[in-house]
Amino acid sequence: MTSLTTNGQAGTVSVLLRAWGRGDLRARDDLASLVYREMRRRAGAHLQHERNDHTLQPTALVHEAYMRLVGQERVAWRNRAHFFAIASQMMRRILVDHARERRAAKRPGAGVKVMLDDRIGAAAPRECELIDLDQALTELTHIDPRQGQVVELRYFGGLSEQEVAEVLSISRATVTREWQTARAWLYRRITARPVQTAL
Amino acid sequence: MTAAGAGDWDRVKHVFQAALERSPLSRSTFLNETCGQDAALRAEVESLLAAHEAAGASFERPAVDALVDRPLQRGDRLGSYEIVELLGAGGMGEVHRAFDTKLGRDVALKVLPTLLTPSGERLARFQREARILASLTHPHLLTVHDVGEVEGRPYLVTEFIDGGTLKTWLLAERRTWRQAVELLSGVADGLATAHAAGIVHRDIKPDNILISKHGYAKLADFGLAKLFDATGGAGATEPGMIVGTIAYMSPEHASGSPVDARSDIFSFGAVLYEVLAGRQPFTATSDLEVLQRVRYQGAEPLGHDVPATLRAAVDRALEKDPAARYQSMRDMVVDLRCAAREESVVRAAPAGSAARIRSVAVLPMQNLSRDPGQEFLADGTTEALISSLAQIHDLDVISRTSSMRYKGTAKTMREIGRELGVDALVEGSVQRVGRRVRITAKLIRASTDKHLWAREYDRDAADVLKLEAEIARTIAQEIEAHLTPEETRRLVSVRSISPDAREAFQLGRYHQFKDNDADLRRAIEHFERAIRLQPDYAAAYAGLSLAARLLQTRGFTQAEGGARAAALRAIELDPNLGEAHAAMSGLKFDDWDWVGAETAARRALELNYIDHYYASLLTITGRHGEAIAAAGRAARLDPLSSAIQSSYAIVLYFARNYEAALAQLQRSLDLEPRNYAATLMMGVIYEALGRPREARAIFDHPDFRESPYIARAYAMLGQRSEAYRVLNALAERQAPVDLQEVAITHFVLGDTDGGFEWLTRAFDQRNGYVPWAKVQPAFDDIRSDPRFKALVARLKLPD
Repeated sequence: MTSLTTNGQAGTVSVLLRAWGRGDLRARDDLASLVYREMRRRAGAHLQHERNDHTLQPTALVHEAYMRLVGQERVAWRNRAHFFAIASQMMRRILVDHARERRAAKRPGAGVKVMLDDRIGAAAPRECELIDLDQALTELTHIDPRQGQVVELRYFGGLSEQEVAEVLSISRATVTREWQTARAWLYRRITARPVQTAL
Repeated sequence: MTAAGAGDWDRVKHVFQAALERSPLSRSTFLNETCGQDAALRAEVESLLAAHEAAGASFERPAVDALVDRPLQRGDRLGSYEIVELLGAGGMGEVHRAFDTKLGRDVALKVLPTLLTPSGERLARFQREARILASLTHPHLLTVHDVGEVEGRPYLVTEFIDGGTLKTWLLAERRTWRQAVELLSGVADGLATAHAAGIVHRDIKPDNILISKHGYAKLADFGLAKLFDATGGAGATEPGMIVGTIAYMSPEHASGSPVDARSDIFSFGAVLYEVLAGRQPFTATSDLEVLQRVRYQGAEPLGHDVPATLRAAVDRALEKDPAARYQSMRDMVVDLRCAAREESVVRAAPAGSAARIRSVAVLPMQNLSRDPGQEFLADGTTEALISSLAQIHDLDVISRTSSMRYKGTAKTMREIGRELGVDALVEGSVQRVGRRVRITAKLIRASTDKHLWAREYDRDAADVLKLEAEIARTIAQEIEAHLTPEETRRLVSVRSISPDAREAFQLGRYHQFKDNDADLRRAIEHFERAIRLQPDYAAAYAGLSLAARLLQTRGFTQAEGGARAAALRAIELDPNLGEAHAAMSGLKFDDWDWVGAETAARRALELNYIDHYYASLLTITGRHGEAIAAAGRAARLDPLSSAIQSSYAIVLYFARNYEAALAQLQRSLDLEPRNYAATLMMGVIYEALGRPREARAIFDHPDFRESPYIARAYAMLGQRSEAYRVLNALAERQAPVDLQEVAITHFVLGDTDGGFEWLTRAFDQRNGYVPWAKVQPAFDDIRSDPRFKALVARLKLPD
C-alpha cells in the first residue's frame, strides 16, 4: 500500500487517482480515508484555534480539507474537476457509511436524518433518512447521470453552484436548472412512498 | 410516476425546466401548449412541479450538516447531569459545566461530536480506558466520574476545575524554572501512573493541562486523540493518520509510526521546554515545516538559567529516537524531583547535620532495555552493587533476596526504608545497547526521600565490573563510610571479565536463585559456559560450586566432586572471594570436617560474606548464644527472605527458644506461605511443645501426609496404627526420607530398638539433620543411652 504520510500526500493523491482510474478499488479506499482524515485533522486544528467557537462549520471544514489536498498538488494536479468529483463521492460514502454504522449500532436515534424543507406547511418539519436519500440518488443517476453528479457535488461535496459549473464545465444556469430538477425528483421520490418498494 | 422511460426523461426534463422559467400563473397555459394530448407527460411534469414547490430549500444545506449536532442547552438532562453552561466547543466536542444532581456537585461534561463519533471496537476501547482512568485516583489526573451516551454521542464526565489551562498560565506571566518544575512534576507523576496502567495520552499539550485557581495542575483528555485514529487496530496508528497537536508531537507520531508511552514522554518534554524557555521547542511558519523540525532538528538548547540536571532531563525527553529517551515516565519524575532539590542537596551535604548512614539497601536496578530477556543484566548489576557494598564492614547492606522483592514496587522510598530498616537506598537503571552499558544510580536518604547523590554512566560493556565497583566506591565515599585499606584495595582491583562471560555468569545467577532443580541445572550450565569463556572467572567457579552442592543436598545426599573442585579453583583464583570460602565451608560441613568448615566460614565472614553455615556450626557445637547472634544478623540484613527468616527460627529451635522460634516462623510464612521448611519446623516445634494436635493439623497437607513428621504427631496422639501405616509406606519409598525423623517417631512409639536401627542408618548415610543430633531436643529421652552416645561420637564434634 502506498504510504500516506502527510509529507507524501502531495504525490499520493494523483497516484491514487490514477490507480483508481485503472480500476484499483484499494486506491479508491485509500483516497477516501485520505480525504476523511484530512477533514478530521482540520477538525482538530479547529479545536486548537477556535476553542470558544460554538459550532463547527463542516462546509468550511470539507472545503479546507479539499483545498489543502489540492493545494499541495500544484505540479502534479491536472484535473481539478476529477478531484472534486472524487472528493464529493468520498464524502457521500463516508456519510452513508456512517449512517449505516449508526443504524447497525442500534443506538437510540440511530441513523442520520436529513431535514426537508416543507413549504406545504406540515406542522412538524419533515425529515428523511440519509440512507434513503442516497438510494434515491443512485436511481436518479441511473436515469440522469449529470444530475446525479450535480447533486453529489453540491449536496455531498458542499460546492457552490458556481464551483459545480466550473468543475463540470457547464454554465451556471444549467447547474441551477439541473439542480432544481434533481431536487424535485428526489423530493418526490423520497416522500411518495418507501424507497425500498419502488425497485 | 415512473411512466417516463429513459428516452422520455429528456423530454420531461426539458418541459419541466422550461415550465420553471415561467411564472406559476402561466405554467398551465404553457403545459397545455407543450404537452398537447400527451397526458402522461403532463402528469409527470405537474407532479415534479408540485414536488418542486413542496421541496422548497431542501438539500440546500450540505449533507454533512445532517451530522452537526444540536448543541446541548442549559437545563438539558443527561442521566443525573444537568447542563449549566457551555464552556467551550471545537472539533473534538463541546465541554459543558454541568450539575451532578445525584451528588450535588459541579462536573465537566464533554460530549463528542457525532461527526467524529467512533463505533464498535474503538468506542468500546474508549469506554474501557475511561473505566481504567476512573479507577486511577491521582491528584494530578483529571478525575473521570462517568461515561455515557446521548443521541448516539459518547460523553465523558470529569471533575470540574475552576481555572484555566497551562496555556493561560504561561501567558499570564514569566515563570521561574522552579515554579515550572513544581507545577509540572505532579503532572509528570500522574502521567507515570497512567502509563503504569497501560494508558497513553497521545496529545499532551498546554491546552490539556488544567490549572485550578489555586495553582494546581491536572492532566485532562486522556486517550481522546486515540479515539479519532483512523484504525481500530491494537493501538497502532495507520500511516499518515495524525491526530494530535503538531507542536508537541513526537517524531514517531509525526511520521505516522505506532506510538507508545515514550511518545508522551517526548510531548511532555516539549511542554516542559516551552514552560522553561517561554517558547515552543519546534516552531516554523507552516505545519509542514514544524513537522520537519520535530522529526529532524534538535531544539535550541535551554538557557543556563535552567539548572543542568533539568536541561539534561528535557534533552533526554526530546530525543528523536524513542530508545534514547527516558524509557519510563517514572524515571523522568525522579530526575525532575532531583532537579528541584538540587540546590538544597548541595547545601545540605557538607553540613553533615543529618545522621550518618550506616545501613543501605540496593533496590532492583530497572531493566531499561525493551527486552525482558535482559532482565538478568539489571539483576546482575543489582547483585554486584550489593556484594561490593557488602564488603564494607562499616556498612550494613540488605541482602539480595530482600532487595529483589521490591522489583516493580509502587512503594515510596520512605516505606521501603521503614520496611527494611535502613538509612538509605540505592536505586537506578541498567540499559545495554550493543556494546555500551548505561547505568544510572541514585542514593536516597530513606527518612526524608532526599537525593544525596545521583549519576549516570555510559561505558563499554567490557568495563561493567569496574563500573559497578566504582559506583560502590563512590557511594561509600558519599556516605563517608570508613573503608579499611584492604576493602579499598578490593574495590579497586577488579578483574577484567569479558562481557560474554559476564553475561553467562549473570544468567547462571538468575537461575541459581530460583531454587528448584531445573533452574539449578540451568544455572550450572551457564556457570560452566562462563568458565569456558573466561577460564579464570573465580565467581563463576564459586557459583558453580554452590549450585552443584545445592542440587545434591536437595536429595539429602552429599555433594559430589564437581562442587568441591569448583570451590577449590575459585579460592585459588581469588583468595578474597567470600562466596568461594562459603562454598568451601558448606562442603567441609558435609564432610563433617567441623574445624575446616568453621575456618572457611570465618574467612567468608571476614570478607563480609554472610555465611549460613557459620550459625549451623555454632549450633551443633552447642554455642547457641553466638549462633543466635549470627543468624539474627543475617535475618536483619535479609528481612524479606522467607528462607533466611526460617533459618533463624531453626537456630532458635535448637536453642530451645520455642516461642521466639514460632514468632520467627510466622514472619517467614507471612513472606512465603508455601515455605516448606518453615511449615515443617512449625509442626516440629508444636510437637516439641507437646501440642501434637496442632502439629497434626499442620502436617495434614499433601506435602506431609506421608512424612515421618505426621507419623510422629499420630504417635504422640496415640494413633498408633496411623503412625505405623505412614512409617511402613516410608520404608518402601525410594525417595529421600529424613531418616532421623523416622527414628524419632519409633522412639515416641516406644520402639527404642527400631528407633536406633533407623538412627544408625541415618548416621551411616550422613542423612539430613544428623549433625544436629547432639543438640536435638527430640533425643532428650535417649540421650543417656550408650547407643546414642556411640552414634554422636561418630560426629567427632570438638568440645
